[in-house]
Parts: sequence; C-alpha cells; structure tokens
Amino acid sequence: MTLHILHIEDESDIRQIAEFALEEDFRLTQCASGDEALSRAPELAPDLILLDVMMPGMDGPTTLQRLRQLPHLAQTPVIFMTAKVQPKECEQLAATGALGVISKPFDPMRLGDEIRALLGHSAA
Amino acid sequence: MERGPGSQSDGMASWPEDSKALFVWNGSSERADIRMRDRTHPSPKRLARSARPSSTNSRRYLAWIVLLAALLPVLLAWQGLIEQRQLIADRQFDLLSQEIREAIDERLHDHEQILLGGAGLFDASETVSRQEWHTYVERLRLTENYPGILGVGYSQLVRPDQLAAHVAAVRAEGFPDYRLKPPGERALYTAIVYLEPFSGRNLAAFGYDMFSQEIRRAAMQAAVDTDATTISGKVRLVQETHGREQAGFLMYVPIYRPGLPLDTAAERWAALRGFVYSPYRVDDLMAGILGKRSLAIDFRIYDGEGTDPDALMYDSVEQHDPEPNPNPSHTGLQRIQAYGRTWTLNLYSRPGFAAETDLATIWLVLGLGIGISLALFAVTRLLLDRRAQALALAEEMTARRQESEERFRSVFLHLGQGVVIHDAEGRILDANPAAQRILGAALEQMRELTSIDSLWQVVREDGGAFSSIDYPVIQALRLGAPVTGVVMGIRHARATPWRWVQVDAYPRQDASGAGVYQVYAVFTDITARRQAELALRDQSQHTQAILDNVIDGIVTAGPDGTVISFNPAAERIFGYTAAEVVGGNLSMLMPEPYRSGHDGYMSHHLRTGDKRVIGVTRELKGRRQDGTVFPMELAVSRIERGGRPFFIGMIRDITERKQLERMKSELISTVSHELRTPVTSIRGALGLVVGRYAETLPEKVRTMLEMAERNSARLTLLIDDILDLEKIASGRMHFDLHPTDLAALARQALEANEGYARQLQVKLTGRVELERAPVLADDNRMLQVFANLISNAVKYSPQGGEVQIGLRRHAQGFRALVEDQGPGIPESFKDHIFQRFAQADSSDSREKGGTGLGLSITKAILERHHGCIGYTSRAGGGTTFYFDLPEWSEDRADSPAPTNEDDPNPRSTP
Repeated sequence: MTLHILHIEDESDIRQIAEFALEEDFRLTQCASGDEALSRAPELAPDLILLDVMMPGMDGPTTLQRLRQLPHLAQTPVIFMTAKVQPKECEQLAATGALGVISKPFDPMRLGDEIRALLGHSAA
Repeated sequence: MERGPGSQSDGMASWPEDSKALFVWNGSSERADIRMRDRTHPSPKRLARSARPSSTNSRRYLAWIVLLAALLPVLLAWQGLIEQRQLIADRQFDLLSQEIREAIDERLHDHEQILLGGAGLFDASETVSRQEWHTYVERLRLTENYPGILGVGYSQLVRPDQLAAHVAAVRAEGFPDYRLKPPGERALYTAIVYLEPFSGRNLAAFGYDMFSQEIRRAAMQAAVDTDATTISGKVRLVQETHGREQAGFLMYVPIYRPGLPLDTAAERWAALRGFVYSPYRVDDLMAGILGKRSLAIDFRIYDGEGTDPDALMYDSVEQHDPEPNPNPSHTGLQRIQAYGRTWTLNLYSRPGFAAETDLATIWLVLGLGIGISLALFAVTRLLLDRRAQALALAEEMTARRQESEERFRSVFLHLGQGVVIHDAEGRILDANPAAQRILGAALEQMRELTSIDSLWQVVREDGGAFSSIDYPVIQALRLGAPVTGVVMGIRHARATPWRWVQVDAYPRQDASGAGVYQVYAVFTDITARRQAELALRDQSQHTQAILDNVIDGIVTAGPDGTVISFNPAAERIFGYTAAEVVGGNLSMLMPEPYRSGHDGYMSHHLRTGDKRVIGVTRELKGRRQDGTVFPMELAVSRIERGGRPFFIGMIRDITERKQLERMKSELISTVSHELRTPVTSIRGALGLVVGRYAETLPEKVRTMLEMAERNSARLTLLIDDILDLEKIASGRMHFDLHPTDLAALARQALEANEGYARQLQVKLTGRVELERAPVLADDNRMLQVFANLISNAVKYSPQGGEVQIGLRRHAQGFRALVEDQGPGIPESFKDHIFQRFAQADSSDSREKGGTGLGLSITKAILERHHGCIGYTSRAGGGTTFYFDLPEWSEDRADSPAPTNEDDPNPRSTP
C-alpha cells in the first residue's frame, strides 16, 4: 500500500523538489503553511506528517500541537525537516513526540529511503 | 617639618622660659648642639672640678685629723691603764709570793719552838716518862694550833752495848714486841721511843732507827755538829703505811745529858742523849699553813736549790682542780733558808690572776674613747660633705644654666624655623639666621623695623590683604596671649617669589606682671609643604576626575565587605547614590544566589587566600536599586592598605553587549537558515537532475550540473562550519562532557571514516594499542575532531597512500595521532594553520572540498575539553596531527572543568 504523506512546507521550491523526490513511491498532499494544513486536516488522513520547522506565521511545532488536537491525527507519526540541526534543537523536537529530524539541505535521491528508515525504526 | 599646629603651639609657648622644652620638640637641634659642644670645649662642670683640687683635698683630710686627734689621747690613756694594771699585778704577785714564803718560814719556826720546848723538858728532868711526854704534847693541842704536823717524838740514842738493855727496858714498859728497826748491827743506834700522838700512822715509827737512814742521819749529824735545829731532806716517812703518799721531812733538835760540856762537836757527841723531832707530811703541812685561803697563784716547793722533779716536795696545783695554764702571766722564784736546808719555791700565777684587776673599766675607757672619736669624725665628715654637696650643686646649677643658655643660643642659631624677637613696641630686636633667610633681609636691615614695615609684602592664604592689626605680633602684643598658626605669604621685594610661612607669636610677660615686654615670632617655612599639598590636591582631583568620569563602575570595599567608595559610574549602573551604598555591604548589589553566598566566599578567600575571583574578569549578575537583575563584568583586585586587605571592583554593565551578542547570534542563525533554504532547493534540484536524468543529458551539460551540485554541497558544509565556529566563540555550543573511552571513540571514528577514505583510494588503518583510555569528553564532538583530522589527512594523501590512526599514553593523559603520507605542511603556513579559512593554497579548498575552518573548530573543541592540538611535519614526507586529553579518574573528577558549576560566581569569559 502506498503511504500517504502530508508535507507542510512554506518554500514552494522545496515542496516541488520533495514532490519530485517522493511522488513515485508515496501519495503526497502538500500544504504551504500551518494554517492551510489545519484547514485541510479534517479531510485528510495521512500515514505520516513531514513538517518544516521554520515557517512564517505558525511554525512547525505549533502546527503539530494544533494538528494533534484533531483526534484522527493525534497519533500520526511526524518527521521534522529543519535547517537548524543543533543537538539541542533536535532534543527539543524529539520532545514533541516526533519520529525524527531530517536536516536541510537534504539529498532528494535519498529522501524516500530516510523516511522509510525512520518509519521502520519506529515500527521496530 | 610636619607637625600639627596644636603640638607646635604647646612646645613654643613654654620655650622662652625654659629652653629644655624647646629641645623636646626639636631633638635634632639638641643633638647637633651637644656634638658641637663635645668637640669644642669640655663641659663647664668638668672645668670647675679640675680647677680647685687642693682646698677640697685639705677638707677631705680634716675629718681624719679630727679622728686622730681624738683617738691619740684615748689610746695613750688606755696604754697607761694597761701598764698600771700590769704593775699592780706584778706587785700583787710579789706580795703573795712573799706572804707564802713568810708563812712557811713562820710555821717552821713555830715547829722549832715546839721541839725546843720538848728539848727543854728533857733538859730539865733526869728522865722524861712516856706519860710526861704524852702530857706535854697533848698540851700543845697540835691539831688545832699546828695543823699539818704529824707528831712530836723523841728518838733515844742507843750505843751498841746498851741495845739489849734498851730493848728490854721498853719491853718492860708493856711493849713485849718492841724491837729496833731495821735490824742489824750498826755503830750507833737511835730509836724512836716516844711519838705523840701515839696512834695511827705513828705506831709504824715506834722503834725505828732514823740514824740508819742516810738522809735522816745527815740531818741528825748536822744538828749535833752545828748545835742547831735541822731539818732533813725529802724522805719517805715510815708512817706512809696507807693512803696517798706524800713527800715528807723531819725536824731535829738534839738533847744532851745535863751537866756535860757542850762547846765542841766532840763534847756534844759525847753528851748526846737523843733527838726531839717532828715528822712532816708536806701536803698536810702546807694545807695547815695556807689554811683555806684560795690563792691566785700556785707554787711548787723543791728540796734544794734546783727544780729537779725528784726533789719536788709539794705542788699546790694538786690541791685544787687542775687548770691548764701553760703560759702564766707571772712567775717568781723564792728561796727559804731554814734549819740547814734550802727550799726553792717556784711560784706562778693562776689563769684568773690578772683578771682580778679591773680590766673591764680599761676596755670601757677604750671603747668609749673610740666611740666618741668616731662620732666626732662622722660629724666632721657630714659637715664637710654637706658643704661639698652644696658647692657641687651650686656648680652644677651654674653649669646647667650655662649649658641651657648655650643650647638656647645654639638652637636659636641653627633652628630651621625663623625666630624674631620684638620689643613691646613691635620693633625688631633680634632675628636668627633662619628668620633672616625667610624674611629675605639681614639682621642689620631689620633692626628697629616693625613687622608691618613696607619692606615686606604680605598676603593672606586666600590671596587677600593683611590689615596691620591682624599681624600676629601686633595681635600678641594687644592680647597678651600667644597667637598661633597664622598662615601668610610673604616676600621681601617684588622680584623674589612668595614664601609661605606659618607664624606663631608668643608674648613674654614681665616678671612683675606689668605687661608684655617682648614678643617672639616663630616663622615656619611651609612653602614646600604648601606646594606638596597643592600637588597632592591636584593629583587627588585628577584621580577623582578619572574615577568620576570613567565608564566603568568602581567600588572599593574592606575585608568585611563594607563598601568604602562608589563612583558615579557605579551610581549610574546600580541606580544607587554613593551615600546609599557606602558603609553598607556589597551584597546589596547582588541578586540571589550571589547575595547569600558572598560573605562566605569573602571569608573563604581571606582564610585560605583562594584567589578564584582576584585578577580575573568574570561575568555575573548585578542587582539594581529597582530590583532588576542585569549581566555585568566584574574584575576584582586586592591591595593591602595599612596591613589590611582591601578590594577594588571594576564593574561594567554588559546588558547592551549581551543583547548585541544575542542579536548577532540570532542574525547568524537566521542568515544560515535563510542561506540553507535556497541551497536546499538548489542541491535538491541538482541532485534530482543528476540522479535521475544524467544519462539522458549531453556530456557537457552533465559535467556542469555535477559541478553545480558539488559546490552546493560545499556551500552547505561551509554554512555548518560557520555556525559551529560562531557557537563555540559565543560559548553557546553545548558540550555534554562525561567520562568516556577515547580508545573506543578512536575505533568508532576509524570505522566511520573508512568509506570516505576508500572513495579517495586511501588506506585507513588503526593502531590503537590501549585497551581503555578514560577521558572526560563529549562523544559527538570527539568524533567530529577525529573526522576533521582524518578527512584532512585523507584529502592530502596521494592515491594509494595510507592514513594511520594511533592512540597512546602521553604525560598525564593520552595522545591521539593521525598520520598521513601527504606532502607535508609548508614552512610559511605553519604559523596560521589553526586560523580560520586557513589552507595552504587557496586553490586547495576547491580541489580538496574543505572549508578552511576544520582545524580551527577542532582546536576550539579540544580546548573546551582541556586538551590541545599540535602536529609534526616532515616537508615532503607526511604529516602527523595529534591531540592530547587529560586522563580522567574518579578521584580527580574535580580537576578538569566540571560540567555543571553551581558556583555562585559564574565561569569567566573565555
């Protein structure tokens, strides 16, 4: 079964690269902001949320907090994507219950593998 | 001269009367004076003494002369008394001797009379019966009248032809055992027929023939031959039958038959009938003669003219208790010529003899005489001494007065202070050299002038003019009391510079109290002092200006934390005024937990000398008056003042700097993020193209895209490194230091970097000899260090080369080594190899894909681990980079920097 990924990212170029990188192996729904994600969330039932941390308006952790309030998304696995990859930030992000962090810039050719690895890790 | 005005006026007030007081406050002048005097002339006292020796000497002997004059008569009198006493004693001795001799003479004469009486009895009768003889003797009452006589007897001459008849006749009288003793035949016999009292010892003599014994016979013969009474020599009496034996002698008186001629010896021998005689025991005789008289002298009687012990008849010493008297004071010799014999009397005084004369009086005379003489002597001496003392005192007082005057003069002349003496009109009488110097005029010029003369210009301390009535001398004259401590500027002519003086004026009162007759003005030149004070004030103002205008807060405090000063910058920083803080405790400027920990830290420092805070700039928090807490930098210096520690704190408010740092940090962070976002897109896009469509692209296009992708990757690394460096520099990079094993980390790094090395066809090998290498480190940062060093080594190694990783013990810890076979490091590059963006060749970065920040970051990381980095390079022959870390052990756990300091004083800014 193809996994459904909700990708929230304010940068359209990066949304596009992620789309190119993941479209063959995953079903992808993309939102340009936290607000958009929240507004569309009720109709979505993703298997994984891929969430940018630094966004104008509502940032990644805040978005996640709001999404978690929706019952059907309360347990959905989350992977953050960030340009700040200091250990301290990673710890803070891990504390939100995220599966893991993928640092930017990422290698689009290996993005799908990384996601699968993180999911597999959680499954194990 | 640094003296307070009070002490000066005290000393000066008494100066005119008593120069000694002056020396009290001017010791140096006095010493100089004494030295001078000692060198130039002797003290007047010594002079006076040496000038008048003779009269003093004669007075000194006067007492002795008095003593001699008094003693001489005493001694003469004493001598006379002694001599007189001797004379008396001699006379007394002679008298006693005479008395003894005469007593003996007299008694012997008495005894002769007895015998003559007996002889008369025989002469008067034809026969004298035993009874008649007994009656005669009894009548004499010998025992009472002549004590010492043994008896009175009659010895009958018996011719040999009459012997038998004689014996028979006596026997017939009732003595059947009578016989003549000693027996034997002799030419002539005598026989003691009567001896009264006829009892006791005398019985032994009955019938004894005295003519048979030589000594007795000699006396008997002499009596007949000379027709006189004789006494015998010393004999042992036949009566000595018992008891203590005494020397004895006998006295004979011959008796003749009546009617016969007796003119010649022969006729007398023919007519001889017998002898009346008396035997004497000498001791008893002497006892009788001397009676109970206690004599002051002793004597011995010798038979004959000599003192042969055999001839000793009597020794009076034996009659009383023996008294040792080896050297009698008096001795004498007397001779008794009696009845044909000579007796020698040897007399000598007994021990008590001389004492009988009044010796005590003599000694009393001597004692009293000497006593009175000595008393006279003492009184004379006392009087003389008194006089000498009085003279010495007078001399000394004179000398002192002279000395005092000399001293005063000397002080006056050499005193550093000027002294000017004025008369009651204020005119100058005298001025010492110092005064002339200060006032810039010679004494001749000054004389008769007043101090308000136009010769001098005078100003007040504040530059104002002096009115003439305010002049100290004039004031002292008017008030009649000292005026002290007046400061004035004075100059003689316009040309000379102002001199600053302190003037004290002392009025001298007349002895009668009528008024002031002189005023002493004392000038102390305070020009130099005033200049020094001005300079000091200027310096002080300068320093104060610095303190007031400096940007940093400066707070000083004593060892107990009490604030001593608080400059304006500190007032601005803390919002307190100096008055609110000075005297309070430093802790009021600190928030918790520093506030409560401060006193403890201070006392710990003072107790142990631990200087954690001294001389180091530290960042900590301060507390303003409004309670807000702010970051500040504090540098504390410790100085000693008056033997007590004293702290200076320099405080800088770093609130703004902290804000700027934060902003900078945020900026870098944001910029990095903002850079990453486009780089992410570029790298992603290029990665997708190169990854998916490379084969469909023309060769040239593909090459260009690969180049773009490689450089975007490098740009990413660069951004990461810049971020790392910034974080390390700002102290915000987090280090999770914990005990870990460097050997395990080395192996892990070897494994992690093998793939990369293989890509570049370099062989990566490990030589980690140690089983364990405990260190205190952040694992990830250590791996980063290894990765940096290994990637560098690999990059610079030739294809097919080898990079070797090693770990071994070194000094107090461990050394990790990364050795390559690259070209080595050029000499010119060695100095800045650890600087940012350092690469030997700028083309390297493009060729090798490094950022030039790796070694710089590595060095910073190691320093935060209390480690260090270094390298050895053989030009053209490979390079070895190494780093050292201290060994970690439980008991040394506190020596490297602890991970979590709960010290109230935060760690210093790196």
